[in-house]
Amino acid sequence: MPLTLELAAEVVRQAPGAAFLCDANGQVIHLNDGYLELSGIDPDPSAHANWVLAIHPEDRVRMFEAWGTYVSMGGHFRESFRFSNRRIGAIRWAEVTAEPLRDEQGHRLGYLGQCFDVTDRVLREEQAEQRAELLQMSDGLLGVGHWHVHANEGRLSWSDEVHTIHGTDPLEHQPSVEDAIRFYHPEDRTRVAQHVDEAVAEQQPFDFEARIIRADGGIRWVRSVGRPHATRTLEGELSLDVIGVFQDITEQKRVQQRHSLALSASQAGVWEWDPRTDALYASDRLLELFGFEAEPARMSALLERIHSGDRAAVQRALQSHLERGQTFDLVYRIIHPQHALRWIRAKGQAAFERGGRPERMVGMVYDITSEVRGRQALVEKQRELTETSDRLRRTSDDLQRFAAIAAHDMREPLRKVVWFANRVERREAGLDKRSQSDLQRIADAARGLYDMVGELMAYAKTPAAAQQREPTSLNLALEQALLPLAPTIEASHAELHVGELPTVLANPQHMRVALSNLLGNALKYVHPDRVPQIHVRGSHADGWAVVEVEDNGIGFAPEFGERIFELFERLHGRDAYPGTGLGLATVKRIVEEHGGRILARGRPGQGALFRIQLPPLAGPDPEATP
Amino acid sequence: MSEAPSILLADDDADDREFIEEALGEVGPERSLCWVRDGRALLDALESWPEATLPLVLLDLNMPRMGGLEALLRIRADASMRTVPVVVFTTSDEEGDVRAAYSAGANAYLVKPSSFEQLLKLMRDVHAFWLNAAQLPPRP
Repeated sequence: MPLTLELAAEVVRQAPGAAFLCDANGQVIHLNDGYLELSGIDPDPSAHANWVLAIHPEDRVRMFEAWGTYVSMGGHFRESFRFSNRRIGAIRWAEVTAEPLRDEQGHRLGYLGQCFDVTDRVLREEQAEQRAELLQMSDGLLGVGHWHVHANEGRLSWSDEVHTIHGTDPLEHQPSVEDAIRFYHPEDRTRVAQHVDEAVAEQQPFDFEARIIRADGGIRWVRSVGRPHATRTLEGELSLDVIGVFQDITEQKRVQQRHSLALSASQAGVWEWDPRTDALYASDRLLELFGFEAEPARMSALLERIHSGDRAAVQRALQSHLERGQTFDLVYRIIHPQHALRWIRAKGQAAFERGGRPERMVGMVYDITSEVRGRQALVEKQRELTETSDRLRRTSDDLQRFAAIAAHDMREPLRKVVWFANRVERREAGLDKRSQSDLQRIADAARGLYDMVGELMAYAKTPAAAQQREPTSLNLALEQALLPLAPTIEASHAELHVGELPTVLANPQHMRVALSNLLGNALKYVHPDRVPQIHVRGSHADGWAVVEVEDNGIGFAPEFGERIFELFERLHGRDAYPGTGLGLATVKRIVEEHGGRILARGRPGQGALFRIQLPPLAGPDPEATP
Repeated sequence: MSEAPSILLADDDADDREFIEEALGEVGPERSLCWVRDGRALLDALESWPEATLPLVLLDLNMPRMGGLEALLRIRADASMRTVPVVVFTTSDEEGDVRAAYSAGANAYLVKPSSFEQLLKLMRDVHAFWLNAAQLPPRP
């Protein structure tokens, strides 16, 4: 049966997949159902004339040119183009082939075409391309590149980033595996070669860090992670390749080094221990601290260096940490082979498996020898200080007792000298004037000494007594001070003006003595031409309770403002103004022992002003419940 | 004829005893003075006091064997002598001594003055109050 277009059309109609038939001029005369489905053309035959519209607009020109060339020139037709499939609203990729149809005489009848749906393949290829591009983009970002050892060809390929890390040009340099290994630092090279060999020969994955020397001579730390990857060649041969990623970790290493520098600066030694196997990693600093030449590799070896007096305690602590999770933080001594005794502070923390079994423990040790020595020295110093202060207190107590006894025993005979002198004077009425005067002087001298010893005693006892404080009204203290002074006030016709005085926390007796001494002072150094005027004023100023005693007496030169308070300091001869020279010194001591201050201002002939500042009595707390 | 001793002086100082005796002799010559040198002797004397009325005790604080304070405490704890009037008469003007003496039951606290004139005045006051104005208590 001769081949006719009708027959061909019947073949096309029944052909599986998408097929079409064209006449000798290349004009489409039939599309089968498969073609209609792939292209999305309406099944209604009237629509078939518009089959061109189903081809993606961007592909139409190329498609027509290729078809025209084929129809006029002959040869093979094999083209890919896209259908804009309106029925499913998506693009379909088609690979189209065509064959000429000839009759028995060899005349060209027309063309028989076939379309294959290659959409899935094209999309996969696109995705793969995209992924490769993304990988390339991320390579640069992370400083990560990738490589591939093609085992069968003995070839290595590097991604651009791997080249960048090595400082090589991807266009000029295509390294072999041996070349790549030669890039590594001589100290690391053997180790790296071993990893790579094992990966290729035994299909072992690896992950190592090592240094490379770049093309420009710079040193970089890199991490290389590789794993075996079985692929098939185009010929279907199995190839046991190795693929991997390659990262520049120089910056990370620097951070790590800084960290370990910080560790060594803090003098900490680091260890990591596997309690199941007793395997131990110890940092250089730890080895140095414990005096090991090389890594002891076992915790038991470390424990042997611990002072025998502390070893059991350390073992117990370790055990209770591993068994009960109790804090491992303790101080022990070690015997260092060269440096003898060292004090160590150790801290550690175990990591536990799900079942609660410890799987590893990390820790740190610090040399605290100098701290401990320092603390011991401090304790020793404190002990010495306590001893000294105890001794001082004893001495001071002894002195006070001695002063009290001495004062008592000195005053007794002095009193008797006075009494005896008085008695002689009374009994011997017929004594001549000189003898009477002598007796009087004996009595006066003895009385002066008697008074002075009494005041000295009071002065010496001030600090202890000043601690016995109670709220004290200074007005009341002044009243008591004035009682014995009344005859003197009367005799001198002094005018006393007393204002409202503060209440302070003080020893009341001391306040009485202080005011009495100040008043006595004012009454003693009166101006011969003036009626004595004495003002006692109270106030609060700058957080102090203040009392001022001002007189219009003979005053003193301003430069004596300080000296006036010194023990036994006298600005005037004993003959002109009697006194022990202790009065103001006692006032100053009392005020200062109460945490206060005293100052004196004076001008010769124009009176004196004494100002006492005492800590104020804290007011009652309004919030306090009664 | 000498009166019954109505003043009991406890003081270890012989000079002071002489002065006090002289001063009392001036202000109240009818009164006689009995003298002991320590607290223990004072207690003994009071225990065996021969008179119906108890004496006025002038008590020094600083004495050997038994001090004035302890003697005072014992006097106040003893039913047979606790009513005896005790005037502490001592050198000390220490606040602590004054308080201790009063809280132990002293009736008065006098400091030995620094002149004989003042001693005379003190003894006159003591005599006027304790031996004339106040009644010495009977022996219980």
